[in-house]
Amino acid sequence: MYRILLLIIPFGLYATPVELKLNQDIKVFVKDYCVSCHNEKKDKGDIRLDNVSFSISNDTEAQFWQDVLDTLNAGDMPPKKAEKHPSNKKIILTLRNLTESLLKARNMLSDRGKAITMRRLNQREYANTVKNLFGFTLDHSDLPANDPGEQYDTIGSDQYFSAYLFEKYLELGKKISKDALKWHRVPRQKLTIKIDEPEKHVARIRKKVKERNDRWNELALGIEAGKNWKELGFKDARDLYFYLKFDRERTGVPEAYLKHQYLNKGIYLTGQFGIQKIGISTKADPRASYKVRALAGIHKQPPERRKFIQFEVDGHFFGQPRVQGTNHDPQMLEVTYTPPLGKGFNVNVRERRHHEGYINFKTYIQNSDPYGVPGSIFVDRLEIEGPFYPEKSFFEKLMLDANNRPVKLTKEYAAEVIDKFAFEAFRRKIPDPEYMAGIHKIFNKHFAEGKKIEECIIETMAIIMASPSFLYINENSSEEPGKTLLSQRELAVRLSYLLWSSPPDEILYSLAKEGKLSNPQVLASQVDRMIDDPRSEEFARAFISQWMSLDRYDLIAINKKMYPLYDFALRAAVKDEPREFFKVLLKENLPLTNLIDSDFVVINDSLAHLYDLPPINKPGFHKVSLEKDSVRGGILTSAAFLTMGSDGERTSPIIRGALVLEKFLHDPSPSPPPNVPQLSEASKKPLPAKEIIKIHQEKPQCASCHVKMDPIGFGLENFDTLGQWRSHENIGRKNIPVSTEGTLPGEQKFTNVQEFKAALMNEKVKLAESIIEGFVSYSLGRSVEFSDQDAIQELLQKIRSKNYQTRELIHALIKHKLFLHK
Amino acid sequence: MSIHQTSRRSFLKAGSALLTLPMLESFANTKTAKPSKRLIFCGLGYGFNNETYFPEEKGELKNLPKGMKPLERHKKDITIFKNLTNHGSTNPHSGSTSFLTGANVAGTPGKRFHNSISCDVVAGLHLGRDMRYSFLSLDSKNREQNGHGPGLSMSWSQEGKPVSGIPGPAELYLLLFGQIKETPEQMKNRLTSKRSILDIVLKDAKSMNPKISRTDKDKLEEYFQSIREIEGGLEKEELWANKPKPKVDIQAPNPNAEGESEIKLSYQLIALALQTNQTPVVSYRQPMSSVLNSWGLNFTPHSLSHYNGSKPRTEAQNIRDQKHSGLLAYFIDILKRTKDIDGSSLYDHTILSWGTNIRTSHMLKDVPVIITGGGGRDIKHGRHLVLPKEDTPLGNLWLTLMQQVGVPVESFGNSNGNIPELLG
Repeated sequence: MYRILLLIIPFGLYATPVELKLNQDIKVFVKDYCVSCHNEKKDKGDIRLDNVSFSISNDTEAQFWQDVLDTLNAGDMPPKKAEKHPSNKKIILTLRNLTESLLKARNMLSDRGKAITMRRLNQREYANTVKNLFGFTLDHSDLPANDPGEQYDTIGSDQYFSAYLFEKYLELGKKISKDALKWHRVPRQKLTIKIDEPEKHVARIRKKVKERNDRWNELALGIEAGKNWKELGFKDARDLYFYLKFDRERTGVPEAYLKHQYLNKGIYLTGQFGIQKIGISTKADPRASYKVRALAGIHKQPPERRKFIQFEVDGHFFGQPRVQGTNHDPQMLEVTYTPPLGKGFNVNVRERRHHEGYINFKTYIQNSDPYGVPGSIFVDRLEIEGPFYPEKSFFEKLMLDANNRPVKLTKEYAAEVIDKFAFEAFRRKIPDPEYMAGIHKIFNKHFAEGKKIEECIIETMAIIMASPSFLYINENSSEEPGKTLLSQRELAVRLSYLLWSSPPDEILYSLAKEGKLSNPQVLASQVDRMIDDPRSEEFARAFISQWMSLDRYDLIAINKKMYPLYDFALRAAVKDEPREFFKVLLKENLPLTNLIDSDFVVINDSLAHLYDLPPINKPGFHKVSLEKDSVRGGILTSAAFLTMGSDGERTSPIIRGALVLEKFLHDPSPSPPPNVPQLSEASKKPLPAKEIIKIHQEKPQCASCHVKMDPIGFGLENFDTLGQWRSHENIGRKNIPVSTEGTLPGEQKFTNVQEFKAALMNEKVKLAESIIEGFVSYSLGRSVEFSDQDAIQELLQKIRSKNYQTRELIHALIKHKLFLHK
Repeated sequence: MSIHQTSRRSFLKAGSALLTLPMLESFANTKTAKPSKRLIFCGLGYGFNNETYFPEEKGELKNLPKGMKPLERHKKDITIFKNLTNHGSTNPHSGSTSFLTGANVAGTPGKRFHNSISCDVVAGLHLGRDMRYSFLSLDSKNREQNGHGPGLSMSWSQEGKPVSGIPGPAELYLLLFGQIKETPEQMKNRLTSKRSILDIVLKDAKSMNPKISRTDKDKLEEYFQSIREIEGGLEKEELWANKPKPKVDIQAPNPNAEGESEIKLSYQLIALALQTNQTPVVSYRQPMSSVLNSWGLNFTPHSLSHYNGSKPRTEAQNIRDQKHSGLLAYFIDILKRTKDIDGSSLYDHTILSWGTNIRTSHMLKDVPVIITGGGGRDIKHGRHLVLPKEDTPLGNLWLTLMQQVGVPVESFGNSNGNIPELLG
C-alpha cells in the first residue's frame, strides 16, 4: 500500500523542475567505501551505488538518498567485516553533507507553489471570535484542541476536521447561544464592591482553644478528685498519658497564634489550623471583568521567597503580587480578572507556593525558610469590585436597547436577529440564500412545535456556528496561488486575524466596504492603530511563543526538590514574560535585536526575585531598566528560554545550543535521526557538561550535527535550570565552576555571556531572517517554502534599512504581494 | 423532507470515496452462534528501558526480565517479538501515529503529512458488519505530551484521516450501555432534525465549493466526509433503533478518572464491549502522562523516556515499565475471567496486541510488541520470538493477526508476507 502511495502525484505541485547536486565529498565517499559491494556484479541487498546519480531532482531520488543516510546513521554500513573503513572525520563530513542536502531537497520538492490551505479557526481564534460576537471569555480547555502540527497554529494544512469536531462545534454553539440568550436578556448591573473580612476565621481558633482549655481544666479537676482513665473517658491509661504529655504542646500553637496583634482586623496565613488560604466569591457576569483586591502586609521578616501572595480561581493564576505593607500598615494590592463563561468566581488567596499534595507546607517552609522564625502574610480584607463592562458586543446590542432594557422578542425580530447573526458570524460574507432559507425553515419548525422563541433562536445559531463559513477562513480563489488580489473584505479579515486573532472591527469593515483598505497609507495607519489596540496582545503572545517553541517549556518536568523556588505561579510568570517583552517591542517599535540583548526586561515581582533584581512593588508586568553590565535582557536569557534548554534537573548546553542555532542563527538542526546507537555507558554517571559533549564526538552519527551545536550552548552555562545566575554547579558530590567558553559556527569565540550576546549581535541578520520566516508563516497560514526565498530577502532588506524595528516587520509584509494575494 | 433527503443523498454520492456502511437485513442470532473473533490493539506512546525491559534469551519465556516481571503469571500466554520494525516510522516522538498503519507519514512526496488506513479499521469493517459498532477507537482526555504523535486515536480511516477517539471510559460506557430514554417517535424526530441540520450546513459548504482552489477543496472534502460519517452513524442508529443496548450491572465510570484507574476502567469496558458483541475490534491509545502522575512519578513521559543519566530517572523508568506490565497482566486476567457466549473465556477468542513504534528513547528499530490471547487458531504463545530477519516489517504482524481472525487480506501497509514463525 505504501509503495503505491509513493506514486501518487500530489496536486498543488506547481514548482518548476529542480535539481540539487550532492556534494563532491559524498561521491568520493561512496566510491571509496560502498561501491565495492554495491555494484553491478555484487549488488548486495539489491542496492547498487555504482550507477546512481549524485543529484536529487525527484522524490524517488530523495527517498533513495534518505535510505542511504538512515543506513549510515544506524551505523550498519560499511559493515564491520569490510576491508576499508572511513575515518570518523570522513563519516561526520558525509553525514553532515547528506543530511543538509536532503533537508534542502525536501524543501524544494515539497514546494506547493505558495498555496495557502483554507484554514479553520484555531482554538484561540475561535475563543476570540466568540468574544467578539458575544463579549464572553471562554475557557480554552472547553474548546477542541489544536491539531499537533508544524510550528504555527495558523497553518491550515496541518488541521483536520472530523465528525467528532462537527458534533463538538454544534454542541459548543448551542451552549454559547444559550448563555447569550440568557445573559444578554439581563440589563447590565450596577457597580458594587463586595468585601470579605477574614478575621471571622479567628473565632474558630478561639473556640478550639477554649474547648481544649476547658477539657484540660475539667480533667485537672477530675484527676485531683482521684478519677481513673476510664472515668475520665479515655481508652486506656496510655491514652491518658499521651493526652497529658502532648495536649499542652498542641494547644500551645493556636494559643500562640492568638497572641498575634490585630486579630480583630485580619488573618495571618501561617498555614496552621487550616488557615493557608482565604477566599472571596461573587456571582460573575460573563460579559464583564472584575477588580480583585487584598489589603495585606508582611509580619516579621520571612525570606523574600515568602513575601508573595497569589490569586487563583480554579487553578488559574491571575496575580502574584509582592506584599510590601506590614501587619500594622497593610497595603492594597489589586489585580483584574475576567471570569470565563460558565465558570465559578471563587477567588482563593494564599501565600505563593505549590498546591497541597505537591509539597506540603512544612516541607515548603523548611525549603524556603530553613533557619528563620516563620514569618507570614497578614491579610486584613479581600474585595471584589465590579462588574466593569466593555463596549457592548455585537449580540448584546441586538438584545438590549439604548436604555439597557431587553428588546421584545417577536417572531419577526427573531428572524432579523438570525439574519444579522449569520452575516456577522460569516465575517460579513452574504450567506447563500438557500442556506438561509434552510435556517429559517428550522426556526419555523421549532416555532410551530410551540418552543419558546429563545430556544428557536438558539437552535439556529448553533447551526450557524457549526457551518463552514463560520469555522473556516475562506479566501475564494480558483486561480493559481499568489495570482489573485484579496478582496477588500478578505484583506480586512486576514489583517484582523493576523494582529488580533479576531474578526475585523467596524472601522476595518467599513474601510473595506468603501474600498479604501488596500490603499497603502490607509493600510499602514490601520496597522498602527491595530498594534496600539490591546487586542494585539493576542498576536504578541501567539507569535513570539510559537516562534520560540514555548510549548517545549511544558515538556520539562522541573525537579521541585532541587528547585524549591519553582512553583505554579512562577511557571505562569515565566510563560508570560516573552509575550510581555514582545508587547513592549511592538508598542515602542524597538529593534528586533532586543531579543538577543536589551537594556531592559519586562517582568513582574516573581521574576524580579528569580533574576535577582530589585522588587518593583507593583502587581503585574512592568518594563524595568537594567544596569549597564547586567547579564539579563533579551529573550535569550529569559527564564523560559533557559529552562527549555534543560532536562528539568540539569542544564543542557546541547539543547540550548540547538535552540540558539534554530531561533537566533536561523540554522535549524535536522531532527535527531532515529536509530542512532546509544551513547556509551559513561553517559549515565553525572559528568560536567564539557565531558558529556566529548562523548558526542565519539560517535560520528552524533558528531555530524553536534560539533556545530554543542559549543554554542556554553554561552548560557552561567544560568541554571530555572534561569538563576550561578558561577558553580553541583555535579555528583562536587561543586565545580561552570565553563562558559564556546564558539559560534562562524568560529567566533566567546568566554562569557556578554561576549556570547555580542557575538550573536554580529549575526543579527540571521535572527531577522528567522523572525521574518516565522512571521510570514504565521501570517499566511502556510509553511515558508523554497520558492519564497526571494520574498524573504526583499523583506529583510526593507527592515534592515529601518534598523530592524519591530513594526517595520509588519508594515513590510502587509505591503508585500505575498500578503495581498491569495 | 423527502426532497431534501434525495438531494442530500445524490450529493453525498457525488462525493468521492463514499464511506460505505453496511445495510443489514437480519442479525445473527447470538444465542446459537459461535463466539466471534476479536482484536484489541493498545498503544503505549514512548518506549521502554532498553536494559531492563526486553528479554535476552530467545525461545521459551522462562525468567522474565525486570520490566516484564508482573506478567509472570501469564508468561505461557504471551509472545514478545524481536526484530520487528515499522518501516516508514521516522519520528522518534510518534509512538502511535503509524503504529497500526505502517505508512511513511513524513516521507510521502508533496505532502507534509500523510497516513493510510490502520489495521484495526480494516479488520473492523470486515468483522463488524453485523454489529452495532464496526470498531471502537478509545483515547483519553489529555492528548498532549504523551509520545503518541499526531492523530486522534490509534485509528486512521480509509482516506488516511485520523479517526476521532472516544475521550475516555465514561464516554465509552455511554456508547455501550447508555440507555436512551426516548420513544420511537422521539427518536425518529431527533434523527430527522439532525438530518436537516446536516442538510443545511452542507448547503453552506456547497456554496463555497465551486469557487475554491484545489487545496481548499481538499479541506472542504474533510468537512463533507465528517458529515457523511455522522450521516452513516445515524443510519446505523436507525437500524439498531429497535435493538436495545445490553443492560449490564456495572456503574457508569467516574468521568474524572485519570491515570491508572482510567486505564483499568477502560480495560474492563473494552472486555465488556467485546463480550456483549457490540464490536469486534477495539483500539486504545492509552493515557501516558496522567498515569505517571498516578504512580507518583514526577516526570513527563517525554523527559522520562529521553534523558537517561540520573539514577532517579532510571528508577522511575523501571517503575513505569513494571506498572505498565502490571496493567497488561490485569487486562489478561480480565479477558481470561470474562465468559463468552458459549461459556468459554473471552481470552480464547481474542488477540490482544500491546506495544508501540518506539523501542526506547530515539530507537525505532526492533519495536516492543507483546501479543496474547487465544483468538488466533495457530498462534503458539509463551515465547520470546526472535524473527530470523532483522527489521521484519511490523505490517507482517498485523497481516498475520488479521488473517488469523479471518480477515481476507493478502498484504497490509509495509508488509512483505506474514510471520510463519508465529504459527504452529
